[in-house]
Amino acid sequence: MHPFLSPAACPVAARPEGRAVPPHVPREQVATVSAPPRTTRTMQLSRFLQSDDLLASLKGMEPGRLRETMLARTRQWYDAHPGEHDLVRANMQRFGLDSSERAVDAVIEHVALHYFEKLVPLCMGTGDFREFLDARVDAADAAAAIAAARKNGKGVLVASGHFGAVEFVVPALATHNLPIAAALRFKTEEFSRSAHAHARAFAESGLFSPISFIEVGRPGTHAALDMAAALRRKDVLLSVFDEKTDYSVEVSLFGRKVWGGAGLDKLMAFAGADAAAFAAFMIRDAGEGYRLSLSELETGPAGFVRQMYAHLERVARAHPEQWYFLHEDIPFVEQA
Amino acid sequence: MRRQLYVDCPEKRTLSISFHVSSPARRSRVMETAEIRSTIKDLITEIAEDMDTEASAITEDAHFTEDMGLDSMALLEVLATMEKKFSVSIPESEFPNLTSINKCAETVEKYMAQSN
Repeated sequence: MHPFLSPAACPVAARPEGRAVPPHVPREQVATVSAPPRTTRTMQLSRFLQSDDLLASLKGMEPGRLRETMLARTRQWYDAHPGEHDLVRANMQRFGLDSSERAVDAVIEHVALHYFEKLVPLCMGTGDFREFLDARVDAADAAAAIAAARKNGKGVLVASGHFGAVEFVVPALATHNLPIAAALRFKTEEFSRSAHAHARAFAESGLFSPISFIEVGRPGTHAALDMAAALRRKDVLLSVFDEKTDYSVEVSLFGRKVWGGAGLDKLMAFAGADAAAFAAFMIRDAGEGYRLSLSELETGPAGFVRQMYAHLERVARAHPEQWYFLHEDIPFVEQA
Repeated sequence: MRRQLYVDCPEKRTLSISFHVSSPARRSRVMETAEIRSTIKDLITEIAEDMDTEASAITEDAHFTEDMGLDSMALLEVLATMEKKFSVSIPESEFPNLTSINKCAETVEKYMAQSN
């Protein structure tokens, strides 16, 4: 299973799915006829890309082979669901981004890479995964900035979007002796147990610092209090900010109003001067390497969410193909 | 504090009357306890009403989540307001104990006493 789960979607091992569009259905109707709700669509793609047979074959698979497999499977799924191309194109148009066929294909390619990054830790042992990260991920400067904030007596919020190799942010920082608390949602108890087991194994190897999980939405837990506690303990708290939650606020993104922030502004209002905050994006470089881009955020109560989205807009403008949400329903305030 | 009062009676017997004297510090502590509890209850009532919690569910022993339906962000607001209102810093190890009005009041009193 998955040691570091993206808060965006927890993988579900299930039968492969793919539904070809009947040739008599006009293309402009496909998006309407075959456009299930976001959660269902995401889960369909997730199940298709992470089928039982694939998951069973991961152990020992070369990362390069996994990468090619995920690219091929993703192209297969999108070829069978042309309406999904339309959704990506529509999102890019709404944001004023290049929506050419080449640009849309690039987004789809990076969706595949997202799943590659989700699964690649399962191909190898702890030591090999550490070597993989050391060889490919440049997070040293980011880790140093975070460590400096902690040395100044602060807890640190690392707020990331569903962008680039978000799956690698936690393990990459954990290779730099930083105690990590990751706020995320597990869709099943099985995934929760598996993630905790992997985190324990990683820490016990001595190659990664301790990683704890704050399970958002789990009955009997209080995620916001746990996140506040993590900051009080001076941990490094990782959370995504670009989801619509009950505590999201209206924020501008590419000139459009979206719901965002995930309540992190309220968390930082509570933490006050005792916490530092950074916007973090694990950018995929051209040569299959990764770079953790970190930007410090002012932690005053006003404009905190705006700052996060300004950074998201900056990196998404530079690398639109790496913004994962372009292939999903964007939480626009007005759905026109 | 018990005080002994010796009274001369006509029979030249000495009566001792002991009584409790409520010291200013103890009077203050007793008042603060009630005030703390009342303030927290008012705070919870306001938050719970915003979340459409039934008034009958808002009791001093009721569990914030199980009985009142408050979510963790609401609990964070409770914590932040308590710390500001009572000028106290509650360690993160106590956060899981903040489950009811009574528990909150006990925790606030504990750390107010420590800071005093």
